[in-house]
Parts: sequence; C-alpha cells; structure tokens
Amino acid sequence: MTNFSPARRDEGWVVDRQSFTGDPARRTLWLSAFGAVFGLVLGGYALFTASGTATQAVPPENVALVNGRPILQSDFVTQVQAETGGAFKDASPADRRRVLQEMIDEELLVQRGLDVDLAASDPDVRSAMVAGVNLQVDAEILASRPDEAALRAYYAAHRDRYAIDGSMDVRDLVFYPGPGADAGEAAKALADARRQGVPVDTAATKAGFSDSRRLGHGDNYDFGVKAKLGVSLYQAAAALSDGGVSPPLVEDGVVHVLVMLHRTPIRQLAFDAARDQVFQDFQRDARASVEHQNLDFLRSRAEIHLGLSAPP
Amino acid sequence: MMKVRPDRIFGAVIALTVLLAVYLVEKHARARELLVAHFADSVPGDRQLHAYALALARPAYAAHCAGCHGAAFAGDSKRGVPDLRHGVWLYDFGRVSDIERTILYGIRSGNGRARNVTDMPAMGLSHRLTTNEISDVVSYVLSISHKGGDAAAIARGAVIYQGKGECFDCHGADAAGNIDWGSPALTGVTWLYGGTRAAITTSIHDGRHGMCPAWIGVLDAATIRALAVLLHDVNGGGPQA
Repeated sequence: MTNFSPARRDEGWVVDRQSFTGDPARRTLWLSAFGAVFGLVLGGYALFTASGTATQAVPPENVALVNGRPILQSDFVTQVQAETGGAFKDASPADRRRVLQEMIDEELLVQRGLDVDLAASDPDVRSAMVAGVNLQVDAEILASRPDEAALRAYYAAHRDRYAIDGSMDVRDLVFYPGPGADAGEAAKALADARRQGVPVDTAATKAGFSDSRRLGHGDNYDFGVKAKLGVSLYQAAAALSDGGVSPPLVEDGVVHVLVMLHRTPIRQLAFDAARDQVFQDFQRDARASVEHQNLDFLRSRAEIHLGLSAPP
Repeated sequence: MMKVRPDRIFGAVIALTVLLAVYLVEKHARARELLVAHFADSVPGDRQLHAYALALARPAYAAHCAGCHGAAFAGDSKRGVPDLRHGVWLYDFGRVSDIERTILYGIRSGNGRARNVTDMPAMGLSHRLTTNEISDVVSYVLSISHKGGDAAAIARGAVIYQGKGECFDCHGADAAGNIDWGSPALTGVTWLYGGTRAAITTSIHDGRHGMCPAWIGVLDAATIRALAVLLHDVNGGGPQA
C-alpha cells in the first residue's frame, strides 16, 4: 500500500520516496507488481500480434486466408508464373487478381468438399486420398535405388517368381481295381504297349484304363495341371519326359497312370534376364511393407468397433 | 555532490534491459514479418532485409541442410547432392522464389506439390539399351562437354541419344536440359553425380532418383524464405542496389 507523506501535502499527492525506495519489502512488492503488469502487457501484445496467433490479420507469408485456411504467397507466385508463362514481376495486376481469385475459388470448393464429406460418398475422392497418402509414405522407396547385391539377394529368395511356366500334353488314365483286376499288372501292360509305340488310347483300353477326363487333350500349362489333378499327381507328371509313363499312383482308391506325350519344362530366368522384373518386385514389396507399417500405426491410434455382422 | 543510490542504479539497469529486450524482440518479429511479406524475389533488393535473411538462414542451414549439402554448400556427387555454389539449377531459374519452392515442397518428397515430373530411367536395368549402346551414349555425352573420345563411338552414341535411347526427350536435342522437368544440361562442367565415364554410365544404366525433403510444416515461413535468399546469395545473387 502506498503511503503519502503528511509533511509534503502542500506539494500535492506525492509518493513518499522513503517508503517507496527505502523499505526493501515495499520495493520488492512494487517491483513484483511492475514485473507482473509488464509481463501481462507483453504477453497480451505478443499473443494478439504474432503471426501464428493473430486473429484478424493475414499472416504475412500468405496472400489470403479463406475461412482461416492460408493461400501461401509462394504458391500464388508459382501459379501466376505457370498461368502467365513469365516471371511474377512481369505479371499484370489483372492477371494477379485473376489467379488469386481462381485460387480462392479452388480453396472454397475444396472446403465445400470437406464440409459435405465428399470422401465419404465419392469413390474417386476416396481413391485419390488413399493414393495420396500411400504416395507420401512410399516417397522414400520410390526415390531409392536398391544396389546390385540387394537385387541379387531378392532374386535368390524368390527364384520361383522368375521362371517361365512349363506346359505338358499329358493323359491321366485311371484304373478301378476290382476282383481279379490287378492294377500293377495293368499298369505294366500299359507301359509296355506305349514302349512298343501303341497309341495311348489303344494301349489304355487294352490294359483296362480309361481317361479321367480331368485334363483337356493338348498342351496344358503347369499351373492348370496342378489345379486340375492336384499337387501329388502334378509333381509325378512334371517329373516325366516326353513319352514317359508314371508308375501306378493310388489316390482316393483309384489307380492313376500318367502318360506324358509332350513336355515343355519350366524355364528358370537368369538374374540378368529377370533383373527389371526383380527390381519392380523389390520396389513393390518395399512399398507394401511401408504401407503396411503405416496402416499398423494408424490402427494403433484408431478407435475401431466392429459390429455384429463383422466377420469374426 | 549528489549521491546516486545503488538500488536506483540497479532498478534503472533492469528497466533498460527489459526495454532493450522488448525492442529487440519486436524488431526481430517485425523483420521476420517483412521478410515473408515481401515477394520472395524482391528480398535481395532490400539490403536490410537481405542481411536479416542471411543472419536468420545461416544457423538454419547448418542445422537442417548442411548434413547433405555440406557446410560449404559443396554437396556430394557420390550421393547426387547438388553443389549449391555453381549457379546451375535443375528446376526453374534459380530465383529466390524458385529456390523457396524447392525448399518448401522438396523433390520427390511425397508432398503433392513436390518437384516430381520425371526421373532418370534405368536404361540398362530395363534392357532398353545394351551395355555397348550405353557405352556409346556415354562417349557421346562426354563429347558434348568437349572431353573427346572415340569418334566412331561418339557417332553411334549420337544416333542412340537422338533415337532409340530417347535421351533427347528430356535432355533436349541440343542436350541443354529442361528446367521444367529437372533434367540436367549435359553441356557444362557441372555434374550432379560426377562427370566421369563411370558415373555417367551408372546414371544411364541404373537410373537416378534424387530426393530432397519438403520443409513446409517443419521450418517456419521466414526461415524457409531466408534459406532461399541464402542459396540465392551463395550463387552470386547478393544484395542488389
């Protein structure tokens, strides 16, 4: 509290200097009060004038604010130069105004799109957003170039990807064992007939075999044979060369004998021949990996509730 | 003689210090504001602003850019980091506004506004050119910058450059490059990855995909503007009268 000296009333309301400066406790109080007021004034000034927190003014690095969203001066300059085909300083005021209005219009439409949640309903917008986010996380992968050693290691680990699929003209002959019908004898008779050059249908009929009709006659790709006959019969067929006859193979109680008429084996591509594809695959896997990591991160932060109809 | 009490001197010093601090903070804030309020290309024309930009940029460059581009702006040709002193710009004309755009959005940074029109395709890895053809193209490219070589190889390389290799499509029939796409000129002494036969062979065979991060959202607008002014300055674009 300020004291006033009665002795100096004739000079008006004068602060008692002795009490202001001479009493350490009072001086501390005054200095603290001054500091607090000064701090508040300074803080208030900074709060309402700093470019990041100003509530009214357009921050100087922006050429406009559209509903609070900035249009960066640099983007404006670039857009003017792009549209006028010359330096910014040479653009007329009319051109500058026109470009700015276009940028404001675009911003308004983008904001409208966000307001109406366009991404929720427009598949094109959704796709563009998904692609955009993935492009951001893929940027480093896309800009990197794996060295030769990395590509060779990748090739070695995925050799089966770099092979040209084989094909085969193979017959799947079946024998239904019964009383008095020996599958082993029948298979041997079939193989002998083939060795003597007897046509496959004739030899099969004589030996008691019939075509399973699971394969079309003529060349079939390996993957097709595998899909139609199953892995074990395919593997037995793939091991045969032209004219070869497999031993009897029992599957589900039925005896199969495979007769290879013509075989075009799988051809493994050398690294040099496959290098471009290896690079593409390497990049694709790397991108898939970072995109997966990004999704893991997003999931870790997301609140996801599954409904009753969601699969377990 | 009037005796000045120490506590008054102390109070005066405190007050002056506070006032000075306020003045400096305000001056700094005002200068930052002016730096970004001016159009980028006009900053070198203002000596005070130019000086302020350099003072602001130097520590920022040391903290954020020198790691790749080097403290002396020399870059690193082994990694394709450009030497920033040569006045040779891959994109646009080297104006403050051009440099600022690169700093803001980067090159192949993943930012949608990054400079990312194209990149150097891997002509060898993709088998578009054979090893011998690449060797001929390298001879031709070296001959453009007057490094001599086998005349027959140079002639073959020229045909590939203008034809099968489609090198002309980006680098230009006259090999002058294209600043819209960021395809470098092949006529000078400045080489992003080094101008040796081995380096150029690697560029053509394996392709190149240089990258610069986007600094928007990482650095504030004034610092980015200041860095652009600094790089413009390093290339001889000092304060203009």
